[in-house]
Amino acid sequence: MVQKRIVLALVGLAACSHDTARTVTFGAAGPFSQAYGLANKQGIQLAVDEINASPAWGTTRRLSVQFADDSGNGVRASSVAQSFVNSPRIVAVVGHVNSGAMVSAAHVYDQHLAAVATTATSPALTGISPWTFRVIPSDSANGQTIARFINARGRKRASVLYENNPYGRGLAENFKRSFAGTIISIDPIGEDSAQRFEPFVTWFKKQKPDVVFIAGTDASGLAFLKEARRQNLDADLVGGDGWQTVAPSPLAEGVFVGAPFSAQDPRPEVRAFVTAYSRKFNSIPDGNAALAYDATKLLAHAVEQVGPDRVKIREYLANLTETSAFHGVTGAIRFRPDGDPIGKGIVMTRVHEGAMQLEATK
Amino acid sequence: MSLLDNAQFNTIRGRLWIGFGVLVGILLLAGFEARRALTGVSREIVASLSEVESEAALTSQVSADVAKTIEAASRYLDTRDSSAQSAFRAFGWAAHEVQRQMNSRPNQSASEVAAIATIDNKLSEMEIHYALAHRLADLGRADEARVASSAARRSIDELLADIALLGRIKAEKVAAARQDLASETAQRSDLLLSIIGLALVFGIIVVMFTVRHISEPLELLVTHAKRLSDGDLASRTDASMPGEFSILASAMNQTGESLSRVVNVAARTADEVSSSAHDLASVSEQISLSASQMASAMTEVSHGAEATVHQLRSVDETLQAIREAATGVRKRSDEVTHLAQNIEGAAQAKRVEIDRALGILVDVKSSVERAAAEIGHLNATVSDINQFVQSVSQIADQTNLLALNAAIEAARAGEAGRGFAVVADEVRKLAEQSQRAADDIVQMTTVVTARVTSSAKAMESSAGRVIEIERVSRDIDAALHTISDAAERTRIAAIGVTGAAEANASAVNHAAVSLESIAKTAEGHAAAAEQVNASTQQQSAACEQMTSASNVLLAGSTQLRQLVGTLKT
Repeated sequence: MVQKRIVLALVGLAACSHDTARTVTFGAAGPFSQAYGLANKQGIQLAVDEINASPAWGTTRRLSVQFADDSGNGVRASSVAQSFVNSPRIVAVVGHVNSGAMVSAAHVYDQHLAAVATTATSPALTGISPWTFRVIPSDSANGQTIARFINARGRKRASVLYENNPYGRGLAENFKRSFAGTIISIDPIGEDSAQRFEPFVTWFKKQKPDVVFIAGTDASGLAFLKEARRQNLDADLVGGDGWQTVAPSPLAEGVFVGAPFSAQDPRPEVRAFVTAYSRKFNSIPDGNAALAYDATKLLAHAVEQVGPDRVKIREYLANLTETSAFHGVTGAIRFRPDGDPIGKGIVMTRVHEGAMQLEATK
Repeated sequence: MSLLDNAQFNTIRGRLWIGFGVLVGILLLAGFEARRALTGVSREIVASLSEVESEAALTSQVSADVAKTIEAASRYLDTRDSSAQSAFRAFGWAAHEVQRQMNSRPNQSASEVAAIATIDNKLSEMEIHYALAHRLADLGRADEARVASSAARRSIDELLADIALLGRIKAEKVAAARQDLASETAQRSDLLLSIIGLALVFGIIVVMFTVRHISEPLELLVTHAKRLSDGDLASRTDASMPGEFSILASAMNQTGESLSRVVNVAARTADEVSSSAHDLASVSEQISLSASQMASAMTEVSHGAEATVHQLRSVDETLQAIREAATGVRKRSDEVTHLAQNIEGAAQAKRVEIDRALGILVDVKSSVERAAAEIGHLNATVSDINQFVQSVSQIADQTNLLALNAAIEAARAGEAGRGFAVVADEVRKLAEQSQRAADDIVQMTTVVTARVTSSAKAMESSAGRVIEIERVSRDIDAALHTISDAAERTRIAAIGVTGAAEANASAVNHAAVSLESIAKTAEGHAAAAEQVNASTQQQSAACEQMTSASNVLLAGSTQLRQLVGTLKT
């Protein structure tokens, strides 16, 4: 009888070591059908491949990621978050991608599961839960950097279009706060490509602003650029980190983009990342990919340090210091007690022939 | 349990203590529970109310902001007033901010979060339509603006429906909270009521139990007491009853028994007293008679005692003489001690001197012995000198013979030997001188030898005398030692005598004291005898009083006997 039990126990252990004990699972959520969502997903996939090939993981564990599309929508995001929390094998979450989605999901993750948002920049996320972190600086920092860049270029009259969601409102609000000139209009737009920009561009042609700042993402951005090019709008066109995926389009030639990452960064780890990403996906990585890649590697590093335990992973993330900071392709990562990253910013780039060229701050 | 039965629960007092203790405990519990329940319920009410209040405030704020946004948006379309556009923007942003606040509140259900997110989306959509309509209106394209604003109005209807839905969700939340509070309150009041009911039932049981256990034994005891007061001392209460009553009952039982015994004893005693009183009267007369005989005997005792005192006084004087003699003995033995000490001291001093003299003698003896040895050596030297002188004398003789032969030869040689004859003659003279010198030396050594011999003799005799002196000195020392010992023994003996004399004196003193006390005792006897005499006379008088008292006693005991006879035992 005793022997039989031991055999059963051994069988149980063996089963564990194949399925649960050796495979570590992260959840990942974002609007993966959107271009910036896809960039996030690809950054995560590249990180997973590299982690599973690394000597630290290769023999002892395997990392797998369960992707869930939240469409960037708060309602969908909170139900995705709830399913992650309810699944015991998921030990941490990469994402969400959008600010609005993350604001809704943060309440679900609170006290249960650590989530590292990739590109959610809304100031509303600052301090929302001790269980949520983000690797991108908040819009308050990004809007400020973009506004100062435009001030430095001597532009005085600005029009603002913002996606009417927490990301767009947050970025626009913080741009408005730091812009030294006059804002002649500030209008909400949708997130999709099927909307009319003609009346806005016609209005801009009449009012002639020096600069049009669009706080939004790629779908709406490309629709706007199409209309602006059609009417030959003669103003500086500026986007935030949401516009990184606009860059490859020919419509984006000459557009200014504030990005948390530049593929032209000469640091060797960035070069290696850009090479590996280009080889795997046949495209140049943007900040979405780089931030998702860093968030995934950060969580994998946490698992190496403290094991696949939800509480310990959160504690590890909350207690990173200047010396123990994780060095990713977007810089050293550690967090303030409110979950925002310390010492990270965005760089200003200008699109030339589909690539974001670093723009010297004047 | 049995301990409780015996020690606590078996007495009325114990039952009351336990009963009222439990009652007070239950009432305290009820009080605490009531207080706790009231505090808890009021806290929950306050918390729920403030939550409901702030949620209601936020919900109504959303509604208000949305309404104002819509109003400002339509106004701008009509008037193109820039303040209307600012109001449209500001109220829209405020509505988004309020929703963010609602979202950040704790304890939001999934349906609430979803409702808020939907409202936010609808509001955003409406704002976008209106923004487009405003720009179209700015461009003077009124028809298109109307189309855009009608799209916005479609959103408005949905938005208002969603706000109403949120209101319903909040109302349901309030109702649920109210339900919770009501059931909580009901639960606690039920608990409170049941505790109080329990206390009530328990109190009634305690009171009934106590009353029943007091009244029954009390009746029994009252009956018993009545029978006792009627003189029925044989009445007993044996029923089982609570502690205090059973103590009282057994006390009453014992009282009955004790009284019965007392009555019996009293009757017997009365009989005995009356017969004793008769005896007493006759005895006291006899005592009276013997007392007067005793008085005369005592007078004789008194005289005898005085005579004894006289005799004792004369013995005391004799003892006094003995004491003085003992004192003399003691003085003399002290003197002897003193003398013995002196002798001992002197003998010791002499012994020291003799020791010193002996030391000197030993030195002298060794000097004499050394001198004797030297004289021995001197004798040996003198005989060496004599031998040498004899050889010189022989040489001189032979030299003289030679010189004679040489003179003869020289004479025979004639002229040639004349010079040689002179030399021979000189040699002869020299031999003769040597002979004379040798003779002188012999003479001198003879004198020396004679002197040495006499010195040696003198030495021997002085050595002998020194030894003699030494022997005598040692004898003296031994004699002194013996004296010293004797003196010591004498002194110790004398001390012994002193001690004995003192002991003797104190014995005599004791004897004197004892005598004194005997004398006093004898005097006391005499006085006591006098007193006895006096008291005997008083006794005679008392005996007469006793006789009359025993007559009174006799009468009393007769009355007592009659009284006791009426009690039942």
